[in-house]
Amino acid sequence: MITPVIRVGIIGAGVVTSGSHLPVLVNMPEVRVDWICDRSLQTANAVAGAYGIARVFGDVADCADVDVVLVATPLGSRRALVPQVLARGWHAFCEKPFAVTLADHNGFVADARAKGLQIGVAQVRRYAKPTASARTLIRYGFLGPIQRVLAADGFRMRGTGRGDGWHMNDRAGGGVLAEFGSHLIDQVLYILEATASSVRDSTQRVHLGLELASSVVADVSRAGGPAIPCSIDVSVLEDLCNGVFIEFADTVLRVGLGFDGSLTLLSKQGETVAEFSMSEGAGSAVEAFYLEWKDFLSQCRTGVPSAVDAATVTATTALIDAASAMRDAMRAASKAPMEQTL
Amino acid sequence: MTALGRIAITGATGQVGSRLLRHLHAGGLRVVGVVRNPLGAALCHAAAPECEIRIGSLTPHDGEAHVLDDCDVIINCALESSGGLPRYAYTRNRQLVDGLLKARSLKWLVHFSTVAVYGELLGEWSDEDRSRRRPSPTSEYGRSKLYVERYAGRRARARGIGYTALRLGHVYGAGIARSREIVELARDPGFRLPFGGRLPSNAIHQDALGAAVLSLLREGPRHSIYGVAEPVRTWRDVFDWHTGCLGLPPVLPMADDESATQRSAWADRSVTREALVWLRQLPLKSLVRAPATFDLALRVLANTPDSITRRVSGLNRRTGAGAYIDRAAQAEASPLPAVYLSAGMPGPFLGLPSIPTTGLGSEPERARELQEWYDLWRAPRVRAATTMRSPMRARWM
Repeated sequence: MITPVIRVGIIGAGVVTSGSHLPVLVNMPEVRVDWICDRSLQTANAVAGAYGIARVFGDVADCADVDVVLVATPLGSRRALVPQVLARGWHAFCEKPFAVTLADHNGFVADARAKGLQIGVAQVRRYAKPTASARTLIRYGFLGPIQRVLAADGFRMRGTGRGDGWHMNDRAGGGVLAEFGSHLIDQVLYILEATASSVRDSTQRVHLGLELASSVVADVSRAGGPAIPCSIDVSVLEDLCNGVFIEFADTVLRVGLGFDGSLTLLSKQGETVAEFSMSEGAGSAVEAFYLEWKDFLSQCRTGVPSAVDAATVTATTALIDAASAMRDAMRAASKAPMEQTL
Repeated sequence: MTALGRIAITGATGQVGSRLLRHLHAGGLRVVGVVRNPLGAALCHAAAPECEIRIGSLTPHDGEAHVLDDCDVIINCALESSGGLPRYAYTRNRQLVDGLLKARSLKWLVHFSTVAVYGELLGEWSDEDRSRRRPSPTSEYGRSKLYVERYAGRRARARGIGYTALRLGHVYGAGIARSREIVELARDPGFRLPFGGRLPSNAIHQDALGAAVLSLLREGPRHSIYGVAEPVRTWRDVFDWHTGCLGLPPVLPMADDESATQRSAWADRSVTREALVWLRQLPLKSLVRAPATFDLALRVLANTPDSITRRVSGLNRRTGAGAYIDRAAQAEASPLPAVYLSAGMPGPFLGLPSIPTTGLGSEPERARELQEWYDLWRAPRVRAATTMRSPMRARWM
């Protein structure tokens, strides 16, 4: 039962917690952040100090009961952590990527449903103005049938800071496809209101065991329409032509990736024809994080699924899982050592 | 110069460091790329798979083994991030230099500095030697880089280690941010090249840089500070090289008087002027449009004699359009980066070997790499092996 003030616990004191979630949560009057838990007590203490959080824990088992927790730990930890959270009777709002496999994903959702709990995924890009507005535009079919979709999110990473690169390891963080691709894939599927997808091809570039670039081609199904071929590229090795490019018979709709991105109609030759004024969605990351929390907390109060309900992210996990399975099968078939570029 | 031992490059994942790795390796030197973590190692491996890569701390605690203990030369291309805290740029980079100088076999530290130590807008200089010795940076980036350059020099000399500072100009080439800016400017039909491109560019192709550093390592230094640029290349040369490689039309020249105006806008920058610009950007319109403010204004106006409100209304009509016109004019004339309006930096310059006719760094290879890189980001494309068939294939420009 949700109390009038929602007690929130934070698991994982990384950058997304301190830089994105906490600035919003501590400013929501209906929320009280009771504790923060991280394997590194030093990190947890630093974040707690910055945001005035009273209690710090190093192990979830020691944490006091709350209504909702944010799960912001690496993907590799989820298989053990999410069931533990649900067993405590806490609603769980999980950072993306949600689960390593589709089976894990479905298992977490079923577990939550069986316990009468809500589980959501912070697919924050769904709230970005270009994404939200493009979804509406596509739903009404103003531009005609979609021919194909080309989506890319690539940049040449020039520095790594002091992190250890865990998020590029396909066992710990999911590799670039799960870490960055989970944003882009979800954006494409969300805009198209996809019901399912079938992966045709998946190739990765792996260096020293870390997946740094990934390309996927999939046929994406929508209710009442033919499957749409989609090409999705993510890379930290190269600058790519970033955006979601939705091709129609006579024109192309370019959907910007970020919150300050644009929604643009292009000619076949790539010239800008018109730029849409966007009335839906968030124009900043802070606004988007606020809206997703508002939606999830409302879901927790009412039980009515919101835009971040984990079940709505199933198609995203399924596509990443299928692409990863294809990658693993290729590795096994070629017996390629991890050091080689696949 | 005696035979070189092992040479380490810090910042080996960066755009300069990763290219240097390839050049020094190709030049037959025993080169090591050093990175902090597995992600850095993977990025380094992607850029220069044939090179030795080491993972380790560059700032070991006293008594700890140094990851570069067996290296005779360290080329420091690393730049510690400030994490949004300006003081970190000083303290962290100081720690980095101190850490590098702990390497047991170190005999020579080559430190990458920047043309930004001369300011954002470089003016003409009359005394080259004085200009080089007493640069006056005008940005925080330039100030912190100059501080670290000088700190590294003092500390290296105190330890009896050779020291050379390279004040690096604007590096260009495939995959480099400056080239992206140049190509985007060249593709903008409204862009005009200031002074027709006659100004010295202070720019250097990444392969020319690689060859120049290789030559420095082989021949030894004659100066403690070098400028690193292709000194005879103008911006016209650099833009024409990009547009020529990519089949784009040459950029048109900007008239000299307009160029001079743009240059003056940079030269005349002051705190007061920028404070006023900042004030203008404050959301005053939102305040005025707030319901309470609007209601207050209506109350005042309701009690104001007609003759006055008519006069105010007339004045508003006459002058109101001016603000919109100013804004539109400002939007059209967005200021160019100062680098395209600057004079040349002082020498002496690092010697540039002639361009090889084939292989890494050759002209055909430079052009091919630029074209391939441009093709990646200029238009969306399918990169997976599968061919996607579509009734409509967009023909991107």
